[in-house]
Amino acid sequence: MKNQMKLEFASISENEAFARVAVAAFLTQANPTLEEVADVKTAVSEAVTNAIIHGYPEGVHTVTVAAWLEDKELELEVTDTGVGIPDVAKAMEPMYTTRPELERSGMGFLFMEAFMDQVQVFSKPGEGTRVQMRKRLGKRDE
Amino acid sequence: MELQERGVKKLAERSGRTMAGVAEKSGILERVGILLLIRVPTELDHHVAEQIREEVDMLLKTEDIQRLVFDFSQTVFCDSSGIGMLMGRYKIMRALGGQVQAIHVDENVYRILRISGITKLISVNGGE
Ligand SMILES: Nc1ncnc2c1ncn2[C@@H]1O[C@H](COP(=O)(O)OP(=O)(O)OP(=O)(O)O)[C@@H](O)[C@H]1O
Ligand SMILES: [Mg+2]
Repeated sequence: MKNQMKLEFASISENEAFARVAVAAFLTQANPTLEEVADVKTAVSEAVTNAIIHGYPEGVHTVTVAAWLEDKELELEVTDTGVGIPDVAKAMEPMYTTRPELERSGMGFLFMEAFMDQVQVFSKPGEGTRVQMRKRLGKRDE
Repeated sequence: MELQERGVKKLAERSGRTMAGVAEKSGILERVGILLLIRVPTELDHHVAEQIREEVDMLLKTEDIQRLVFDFSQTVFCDSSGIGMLMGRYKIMRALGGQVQAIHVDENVYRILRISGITKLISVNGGE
């Protein structure tokens, strides 16, 4: 079975919880473990929060979350059309942050990588950022 | 964990002061003398972290508070925004010569705290 979903929402912090819950609900069909659900929720929260604070430092714009599920394979994409990242490799280093004054500590990508099997970031300054993540679910059935 | 709670109660009784006159906007905070108890909501994300930060920092500016106790008994979710908020309060309290602790932390939240390294800076109860 193959399934797909796509969400578009305004870049305000209230929508972070909405995005997490929506993705978690989408996952249930793959019979994930509680830990897997928690892992995916954290990863979604990190990517969406980054889009809201870093991608769109000014004004309210649109964040997109898309997910694909084929058997137990989950693919997730969080996209913004904001400022983009000049050096992706550097941005993904643990503890690297461009916003220490907002009490950011550079843990977001670290958590995404810890909780998902694969994380890839596509970004262009001035055009935006797409974070693509993959995870195999339903480990208990194996 | 129980010991911890009794300790907190004792400290509150000893100081004998209450929240009187102090804004308790969202019901998240409870001040007992020099201790400030923060009842962390179910999900500690960017949105909630900003609320807590704002309310706690306002109190710290005017009141003599020596200990921040974050009660995670309701909390099932925490991300890097929660870590940033805790880290920031830790730095403030360290500068004031005070303490920060997290109590009743569940397994999932503990995982996040451990990976971030904050378990080395503040005392954390539960979750292990
Ligand atoms: N969607 C995005 N648009 C623009 N820049 C981004 C985006 N996502 C991440 N970045 C950049 O990558 C850096 C690292 O991101 P990461 O999530 O690891 O840490 P952080 O957001 O700074 O801190 P934390 O996640 O711990 O609160 C950010 O500081 C920012 O400069
Ligand atoms: Mg981040």
